[in-house]
Amino acid sequence: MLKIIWNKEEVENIKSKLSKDFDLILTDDPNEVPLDKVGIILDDSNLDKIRPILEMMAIERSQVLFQTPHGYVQLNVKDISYLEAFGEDIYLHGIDMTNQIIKQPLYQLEEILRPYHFVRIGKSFIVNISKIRYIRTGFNAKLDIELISGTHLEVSRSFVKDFKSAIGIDKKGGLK
Amino acid sequence: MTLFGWIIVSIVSVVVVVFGVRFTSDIIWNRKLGKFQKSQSVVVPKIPRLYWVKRSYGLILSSLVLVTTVASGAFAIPNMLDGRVLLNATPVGSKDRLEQLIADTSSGNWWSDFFNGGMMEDEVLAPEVDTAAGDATTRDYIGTNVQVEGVDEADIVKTDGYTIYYATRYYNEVRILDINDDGTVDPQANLDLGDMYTDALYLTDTQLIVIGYVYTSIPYTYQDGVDYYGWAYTSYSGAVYVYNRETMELEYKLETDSNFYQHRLVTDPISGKSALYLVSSKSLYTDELRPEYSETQDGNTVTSYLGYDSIFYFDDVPVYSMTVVTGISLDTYEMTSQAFLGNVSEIYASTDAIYTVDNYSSYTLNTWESHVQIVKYALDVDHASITYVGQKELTGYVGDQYWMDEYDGYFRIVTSSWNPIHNDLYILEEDDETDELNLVGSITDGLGNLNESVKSVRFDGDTGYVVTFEQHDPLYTIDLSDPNHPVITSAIEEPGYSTYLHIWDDDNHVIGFGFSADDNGFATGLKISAYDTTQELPLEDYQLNNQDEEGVYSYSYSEASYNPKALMVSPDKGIIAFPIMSWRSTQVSTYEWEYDYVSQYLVFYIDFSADQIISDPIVISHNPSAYYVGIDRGVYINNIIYTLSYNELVSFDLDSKSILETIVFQTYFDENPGLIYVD
Repeated sequence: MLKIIWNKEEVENIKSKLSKDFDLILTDDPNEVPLDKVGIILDDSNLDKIRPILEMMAIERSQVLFQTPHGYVQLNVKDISYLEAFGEDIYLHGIDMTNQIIKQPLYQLEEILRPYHFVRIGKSFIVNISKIRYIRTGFNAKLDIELISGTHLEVSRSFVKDFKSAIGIDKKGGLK
Repeated sequence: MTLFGWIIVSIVSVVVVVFGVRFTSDIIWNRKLGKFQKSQSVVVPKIPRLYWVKRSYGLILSSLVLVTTVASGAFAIPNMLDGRVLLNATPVGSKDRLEQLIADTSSGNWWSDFFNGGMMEDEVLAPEVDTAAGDATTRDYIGTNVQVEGVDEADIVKTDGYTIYYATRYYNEVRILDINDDGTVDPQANLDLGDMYTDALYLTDTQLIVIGYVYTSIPYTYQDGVDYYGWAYTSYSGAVYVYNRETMELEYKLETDSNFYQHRLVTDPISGKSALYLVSSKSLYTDELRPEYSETQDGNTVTSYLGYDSIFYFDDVPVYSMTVVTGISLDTYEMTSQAFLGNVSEIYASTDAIYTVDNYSSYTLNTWESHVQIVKYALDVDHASITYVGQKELTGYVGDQYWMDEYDGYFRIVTSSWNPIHNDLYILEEDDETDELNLVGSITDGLGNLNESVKSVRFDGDTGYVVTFEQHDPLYTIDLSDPNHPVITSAIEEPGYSTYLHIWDDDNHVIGFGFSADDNGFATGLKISAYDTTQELPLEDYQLNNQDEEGVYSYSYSEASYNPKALMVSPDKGIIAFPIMSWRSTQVSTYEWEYDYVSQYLVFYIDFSADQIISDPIVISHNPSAYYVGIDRGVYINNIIYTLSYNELVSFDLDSKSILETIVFQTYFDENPGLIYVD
């Protein structure tokens, strides 16, 4: 048996993600879980499957601190669609179509965001894989990706390999 | 597939592969992405199905283009024959294909079978006239009346001036009558043909060629899926016997599984070589669908079959029988053949081409239409070979071989339609590259008044003559000197009509043979007409009335009215002659009539410079017969007319105007007297 303790306010979110595939029991019995927490009880044989889901939920909840011309801003990773370098500025495109200018080099951002399933797709672009709707192959060995927001981005030829690794096509490395 | 076709198909294939690869990699990429997103428990809106349809457009369209291109056969290597692209004819190629074509046709309507079967095969005899080649003889004679010089046509009587050969139609024998220098006849032993029936003889300097047939009954069964039906189908086995004229020994024998419908003996004017061309009509109700030939020479019999690749079919033409065209060299007996699926109604032959025509009907939109398909074969007499050249389908039907002619490379043909009644003249030319006979000129208006159909046609170089008839006989003269623009130049109208026209000389003089008619268009008797085609009325008519003196009625007819070979014609000698047969009924008392049957041979002299152009006839009579055996033919040798019937020969000296000799033949009825009813 496996007991997961989680914030009470996110109980609906976790329920929607787990209850479809797993039998689980929710509890807020003060004897079982701390105050303001909720306990999810399920079979521990599901641990391997549940882990990435929980990790993803953790990622979604993660916040990253970015340097802007006006100081620092803390943003939820799940709200970021992609980042675009334009001259010395980096534009951070959110899922709500808002833009944010970031004063950090792109390579630093790439390093910061890599654990959160972001991948570099060109000299000037970093994309959140979770926001890709579909991929279209082109005649020129490039890839055209459409985001949930409808934005089209191009994966440059020299970054296709990294992109492949990131979504697990290249089994030798990258995220699984 | 042509080279161009391969290039096109290769290009389209590359496009298909590119689109295919791209579409496949699209699927792989997105599946991986989906898998990844699922593993990360990322919920992304599903890709709409339309997206995949759109993405597969390129693949689907290019695949369709590829499949259509290949299936359409647009780049298939065309069937070629003798350097000509076959647009109309397709080789059958295999037995399966042939059986399929036969099945397709017989699954049509019963009436199309009926109507197609009905129009052909009515006249096994070939017609025609002209002075045949008479070299190697010093005797002056008139040969068979043929249509084209150099193209001999078979008849029941042939002569070279020294011997008369006379096939007694259905009695399986050929009479051989040597003619002495004094004009008397020296009958030789009859040539017994065994089981062979003949009405067609040809003569060369050394050979007597007999063409005929043997009847065979073939049991035939048909299964419609449930029941078996069986009957015996009567098949004509066509046969050609070639005899050495000196020894009367059989030199060559050809038997085939089909009936020889028509034939010609063509002599090359340069090499002097002769070839026999036979058009036969093969039944498709036999197990063996290929034409079969059995040749016997020097006691050895060799059987061969025409290959399926030499049998052609035409998409529009119903498959009720097979028409086989065969050439046989009379020097070497080499044989070549080609065949097509379809009937033959008439043929026309020149020295370098044979045309077969098939009259057939089609039923569309509640209307019957008559059509004629013309198929041309080129001839090479030196090698006795034939090669399919092309075809054309026209509206209307063709009545006889005289409705067709070839001159200066142009084929001229007159057709008549009966629904509505309409007459046309077409001029065709073969195409250099394809098997199409191209229409170069035509007259589609003005031939015939309302409801008049064609009765006879004759072509003479740049001029054509057409007779149409309902109540009156317009004889149209057509200027064909410009093949693209034939023009009707004149019309002569008179009661009655000609069934045969003979060009008399170069001064526009034409002799017509046919029927006179009353004002209602009913035929009243035979007539001969003399025309000057530049004038509006005939120069002269000679009528043989049906009714003569009071109390004696007669009905007469002549084979020459439908078979011009029964006419003996020679403009050089100014003679036209033909047999005429009459039944006379004489009233001897109130209730009593006497009938007798009279067979006569009439000889007319024609002289356009005389006051009376058509002379009164010389009448040569045979003895009245208790049985229907009339005079078949007359032969002119050195100013003596030899008239021939099954019963007797009567020779008539034109100099002394008297009968020279009468020879009574031994007949089948003498041997079987019980067969004849005698008063």
